[in-house]
Amino acid sequence: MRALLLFGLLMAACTDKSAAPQGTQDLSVPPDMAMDCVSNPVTSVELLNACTTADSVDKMPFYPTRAPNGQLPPLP
Amino acid sequence: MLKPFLGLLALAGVAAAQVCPATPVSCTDASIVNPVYVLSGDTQVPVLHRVGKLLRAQPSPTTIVYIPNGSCTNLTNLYTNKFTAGTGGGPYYIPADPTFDVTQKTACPCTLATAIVPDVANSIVFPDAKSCPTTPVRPGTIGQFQGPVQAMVFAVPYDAITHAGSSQQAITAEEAYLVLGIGPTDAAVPPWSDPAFIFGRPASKGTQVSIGENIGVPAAKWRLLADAQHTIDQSSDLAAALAALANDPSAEKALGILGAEIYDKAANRSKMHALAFRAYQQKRAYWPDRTSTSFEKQNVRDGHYALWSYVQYLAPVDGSGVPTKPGVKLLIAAMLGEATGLVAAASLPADSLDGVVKSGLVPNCAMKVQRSSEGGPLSKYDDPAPCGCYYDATVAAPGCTACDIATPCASGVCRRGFCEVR
Repeated sequence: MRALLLFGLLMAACTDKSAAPQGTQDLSVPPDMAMDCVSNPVTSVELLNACTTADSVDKMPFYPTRAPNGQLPPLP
Repeated sequence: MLKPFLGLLALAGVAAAQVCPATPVSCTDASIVNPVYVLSGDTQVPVLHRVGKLLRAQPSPTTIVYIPNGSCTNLTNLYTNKFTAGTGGGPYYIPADPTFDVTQKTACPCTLATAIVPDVANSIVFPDAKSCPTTPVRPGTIGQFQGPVQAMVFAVPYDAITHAGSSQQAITAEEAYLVLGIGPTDAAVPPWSDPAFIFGRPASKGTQVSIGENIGVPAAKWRLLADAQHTIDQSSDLAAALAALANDPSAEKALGILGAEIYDKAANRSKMHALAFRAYQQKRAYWPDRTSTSFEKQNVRDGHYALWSYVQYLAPVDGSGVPTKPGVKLLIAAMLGEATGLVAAASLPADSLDGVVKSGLVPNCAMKVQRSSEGGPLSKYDDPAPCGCYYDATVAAPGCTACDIATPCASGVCRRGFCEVR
């Protein structure tokens, strides 16, 4: 089941018209690949994810080897 | 094939030089009428050229004399009354010659024969300890005026003619954090893992400060090679470094940062492309503009693109918070495109906002979101006198209706020749 989920997620990522993710998906972090958008944005996060006609690119945000448990390493 | 091109370049150089005296004059020379001494971010030089040319052409001329430098350095120098040449050269002044080409890298040089006190500084980041931690506290006699919006981009080399160059289309905040905060080699985020091809700016530069706040890596902590070829002082030189790699086999490895108005120059867009940016907690990556090739900054204006800040103007003020020097009031009003109580409306060039827009900046009246700190959260913004349609028309974006006295708007209000929502 877990392998099926991983396969599905990778396939979703590969449907993007632009560059594919460079790293492996970190399954410990919920994949932020939902295609829904916010219709009536108010908060900052909602504004970032508001519905739009603008072109966009899907790109996976995490590099698991550098972000264990979904956390980026502290700056040196 | 190359010789005619070089010949044209030489002719252009001669034409540019002719508007300036063969021997630079003093910055206090009588020919520099009503000077306003500006400490300017180098990304703001294009708009100073455009608006400065308008102010110089007024019946009562004002002359912009500027030194290009980093935002944080500008603040320090203003607070300490220092007007001396920076690493970007200067001072330069806007000549009276109407043939002055505003797209030149610099205006006419002048010399500092005597000490000059700066009248005003601009900064493309919020002038606070978060953005500029080594800058002194702003004196109470210095006022702050929020100007237009400036976007910033991550850019990669790409030749629009040959289609050679980087294939990268987007960068996430997490990737940028790793590459620039952990370092290209240690982070090993492909294809940006070779520090020899990562280009940034000194920590005092607003572009790096602002992007740094958005990705969570303060400007002083960027892991760049420390030499002048990678920590590049002037944005135009960084653009040149990227452009030079457009047809290079290593183009894929390259990554740099620019102010959007520098990137938007035709010569730069032909040799590089901006990356769509995905902010933290954002689901997709967006360009500053609606598409990778348009110019209307739709995503900056509506909140889909997070890499932007305001151009702040700082100047000595009186007890009422009004700039003490008339020329400074005029400059700030011109950058805002409205008199705003600072000057008589009749003294303002009618097309000053055109100069702001055509320089790649976004007037506040065209914005639909706002923020109150560098890289801070966005919230909705409704300008009391919106100019979104005027802005779109100025950058040739479709969708707005023209209007005038004879052709009123079916709804909304006719402002600057276009129907706005109110």
